[in-house]
This record gives sequence, C-alpha cells and structure tokens, in this order.
Amino acid sequence: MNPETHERSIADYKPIVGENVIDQLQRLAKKLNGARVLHVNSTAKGGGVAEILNWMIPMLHDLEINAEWHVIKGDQPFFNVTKNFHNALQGKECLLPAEDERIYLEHNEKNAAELDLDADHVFIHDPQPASLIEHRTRGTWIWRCHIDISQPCQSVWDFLKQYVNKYNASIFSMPEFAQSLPIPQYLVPPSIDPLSEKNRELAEEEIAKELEKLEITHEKPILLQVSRFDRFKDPIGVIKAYKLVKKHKDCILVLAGGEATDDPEGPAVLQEVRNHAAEDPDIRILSLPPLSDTRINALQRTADIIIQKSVKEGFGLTVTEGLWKGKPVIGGEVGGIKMQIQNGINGYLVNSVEGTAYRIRQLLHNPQMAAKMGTYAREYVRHNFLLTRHIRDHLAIMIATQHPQETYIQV
Amino acid sequence: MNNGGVSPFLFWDCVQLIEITDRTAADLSELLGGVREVPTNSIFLHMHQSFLKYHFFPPEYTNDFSEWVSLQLGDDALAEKISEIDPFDYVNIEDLRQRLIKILEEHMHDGIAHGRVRPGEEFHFNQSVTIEMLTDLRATNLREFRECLEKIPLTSLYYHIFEARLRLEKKTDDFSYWIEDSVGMPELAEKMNRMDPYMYSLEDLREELIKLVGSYESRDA
Repeated sequence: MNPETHERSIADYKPIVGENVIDQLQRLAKKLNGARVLHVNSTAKGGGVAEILNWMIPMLHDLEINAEWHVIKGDQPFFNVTKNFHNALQGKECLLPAEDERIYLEHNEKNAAELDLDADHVFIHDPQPASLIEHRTRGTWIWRCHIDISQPCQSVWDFLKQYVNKYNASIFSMPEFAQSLPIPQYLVPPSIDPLSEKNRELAEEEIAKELEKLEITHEKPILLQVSRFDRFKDPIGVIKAYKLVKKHKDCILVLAGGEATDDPEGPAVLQEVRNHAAEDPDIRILSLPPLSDTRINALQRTADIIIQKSVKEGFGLTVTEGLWKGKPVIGGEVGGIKMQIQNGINGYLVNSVEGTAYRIRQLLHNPQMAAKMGTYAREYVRHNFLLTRHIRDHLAIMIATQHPQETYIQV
Repeated sequence: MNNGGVSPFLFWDCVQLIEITDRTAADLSELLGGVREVPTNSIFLHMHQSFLKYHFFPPEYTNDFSEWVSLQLGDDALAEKISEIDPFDYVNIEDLRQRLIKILEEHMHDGIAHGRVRPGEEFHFNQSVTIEMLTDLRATNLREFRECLEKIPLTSLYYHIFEARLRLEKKTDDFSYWIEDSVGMPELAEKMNRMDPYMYSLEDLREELIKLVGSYESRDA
C-alpha cells in the first residue's frame, strides 16, 4: 500500500527481542491459519497510524497472515468534518450539524462500495472510517482508536458511538481512554520500530555528520526535547528549567521540532520560544523539515538527558524513542508518559519547572547514575514498547474475538 | 524415580490481553466496591500482572492494589496489609477476593482510611483474556525438564506457576505436580512447592528452578 516499503523481515528482530518472542509470534500466527486481515485508515503517508501500518503489514505477511491495507478516499469537506470529529473527541467543544453527519456517512458509503471489505478480521483505525461497519459482510470487526477520547465532546461521541457499538471489539492506547461500551476494550499501547530510521543504531561517523550539519558540538552536556512547538509540550517551561540549571552547571539546550505546517498555532509558539531563548547561544531551536529521522536519531543518541515536559500528552512516543536510545528521560507526569517512566529508575516524572530543573541537575551531577538509568530505560522499552509486542497483541485480539465472552482461550 | 514410563511434561505458553473497563476507584470505598463486584479474573490480574512487566529491581509491591494504595492514597499501612496476602494460601480466587474485602473493610472500619485521589490518579479496574498455547517443548526426565526451563518464554513460567495453580484451583503448581506424580521425586516436588514465587522476578525464578532441578538431576539417572 505505502510506497515506502518496509523491507525488514521478522527474523531481523530476533537479535533485539530474542528468539522466544519471535517463536511466540509465529505460534500465535499459526493459530490464525492464514487469515485474511484488512486494515483501513484515512491516510497513506504521514502520521502515526500510517507509520504503524507501514511496518505492520509486511510483518504480518512474514507471519503468513494475508494482510492488506486500504486507505479511504475523501474530499476536503469530508476531511474538514473528520478533523472536527478528531478535535471534538479530544475534548474540544463542538457542534454536530446534520450536514456534517451527511457528509461523513455519504463518504463512507462511497468508500464501502469501492473497497473489498471481505476479510476474516477487519481493523478500522480512528473515527474517519468508523461507519464502514454498516457495510460489514462477514468477519470480526475491531475499532482501533489512536486518540485520547477520555473527555470527548458528547454530541460527536454519541454519534460515533452508535457505530462503535456494532464492532466486535475496540482497542485503546491507555486505560484512561476507556468508555462505557458494550464491546470489549483492549489495551494496546503504541510501540516503536527499533530498526526504523529514527531508532536504528547509528555509527559514530553518522552521528558526527548529522551534528556537524546542525553545527552542534558536544563540548557541554546536551539537554534535548524533541516535539512540535505546541503549548501542551511546554517548550517555554523547558527553557525556564534550563536557565535554573545553567546557574549551577554549564549545558546546552536543544529544542527540536517539526515545522508543523498543519498547526495554525505552531508559528506563534515557535516565535514565543525564540523570544524566551533570546540571545543565549547555548539554546538551539531547530525547526526540522519532514524526513529528519536520522537527524533526530543522532540528536537523541548524543543528548545526555532527554526531556518531554508535556503538560498534556497522548502517549508520548518521543519518550519511548529517548528511552530506547538508553537515555534517562525527564517527563511531565501526564498521559502515557506515566506508563513509560518509572520514577527514579529509568527517568523522572515532574510536575513543574523547578522539578524539571532539579532532576536535570541530579542527573548531570551523577553521570554514573544517569548511565545506569539509561540502561534500564532501554530494557524497559525492549520488554514493553517495541513493535513485536504490538503485533503480539493484535494477533491475540484476532484470536480473542473468535472466542467472545471467553476469558481463557485454549488454541 | 524415572522408570522410563514417565508421562511427558508438556510446556504451555500464554499471552495475556488486558481488557480495560470504565470502572475506576478514587478512594477506598470505591476500591472496595470494585473488589466486591469485578470478575475474578480482574482480581487475579491485579494480583499478578506485575510479574509480566519488566522490573529492574523487585518492585516495592507485586500487586496493583498495594501499589496504588501506597503511591496514590499514601496509605502505607494498608498497602503493607494487602501485600502480605499470599495468594497460594487460597484454593481459589474467590477466597482471595474475600480476604481482600475483609482487609479493606477492617481498615475502613478503623477509621484510618480517608481521602480521594486527584483526577488522573484513579485505580483502573482491568480484566484479562488469556490465550493458552501448547509449545513444542516437552520433557520426559529431569535433564530434559531443566533444558526446557532454560528455553521456555517467561510467559510459560508465569502460566505454569501462577495461572494454572490459582485458576485451575490446584493445590500445587504444574511443575511440582509432575515431578511428584510422574517423575516420582516427592522431595524435589516439595522443595519446589515451597519456593516463594511472589518474591522473585520471573527471570530469577527461572534461575532458581534451574538450580534446584539441576541439583537433583544425578538422582534421576
């Protein structure tokens, strides 16, 4: 489906996760007996869902699952409606005009007519294609919700819920996102691909080359936050914390984020960040273009401490990426960051600028402790947040939906 | 002793799916309400899921109830009381649930319990769906058994030690049962049965089992 073909095989992950993990995946897949599996989402490129499907489909093929990925089509009015749905489900106040409902349903009807929805297991990702369930012919249907719907705007959620209720099961990333639904709600946290460009091992020369391009030298300890310039990520709080640290310990702060062209607030936040950084040459603000994965990887591998001082967060995959690079991560005590950081073990959870500064100082003054925490950080991701665990959960859910109401399933 | 007619030990593996519910608790009264009403597999899950997570050190508490009560409610006395429950003292999960209820009720009756957590810090009641699969590993004597222990996934160990014992309401774990019943080594079975798996990580438990079985291997010739 996606032009950026994922060329890795499941065996390539054996040295990373161990033979047992791969054996278990093969055992589970075998029980599905070459099932036809269909994934449907709304975008082929860009965004976390496309990223996941880009590696998941070839992996499923490798496990002899007959998997396909379809992307629904839509015009601008449809995507405007679904963008509003997306915002409303994440808590933004909303109205649901009848016209929006019509546009949404009509587009899904058209897509249903064009798509081959005949499969043993159908995974529908996010709200955009949710009403395709009306066109089910057979198979078990699973609604995979990637967004935070813990406090949805009621009218949009009520509208969508009437479709979600018709699925066999749903999947959420966090326990906090659970809703009152008559169908099972499985917990499947996101994951990262350790062999992707953003996460693969880099040679020293590659790292040096990337840093050179950015004109960053590692003469002083580097503090790094990678995230788009968004108030929820609190980049200004990070600068304030850095300034508190700087009084005690010389260091460099790198704030690296995407250009965020689709976020109308992005340029304003970026400007505010620049104003706060003022003329400090040790604060580096990097507005990175798309396809900067190698650069981000190099930055994360060079940083001494990785920060994600979010005040609101979905899961926080940049935390996962940082932990995987063997770095202690200081993260805001919100959302999925709480699932990933074990306070004082692989990083610190913080609630304030002062707390962030204090933890940075602790780690900078105790490099041996920081290195140990980094080792734990990597192991924690290896066991919990790599794509092999994600595939395992999906395979298990397919089996579970064939045995509704059963809590112990022998296969 | 192994007389050549030993029925093989078949190693099973399991995958545990977490099913989230919209039931939460923000104080002890709500926690008690949940403990009374959730399905038994939810109680089992919250008493054991910590073992399937990776830990760098033995966690302070191995059950979710103690962890939440200590960390979020700041009630260490109650956390300690719950942590002292040995699930293997109970024949089934329902009895274990009753013990939990009694501890919570007594604590609340003593007037020690108070306070509600902030939004976002609630206890989330989950339940589990366990998928059990037969592996191709099997053992007909102690040496093969030890070799299998070295190879099995940790989830297999979890299945045979915790899942099989409590859920199937056996008085012993699968390993001890086979060693006594099929291999005919009651002393080893007894030692294995007396191990305290709640005090180990699964990785450490594997090591301990391998050592113990290894020390008896020569007697199984």
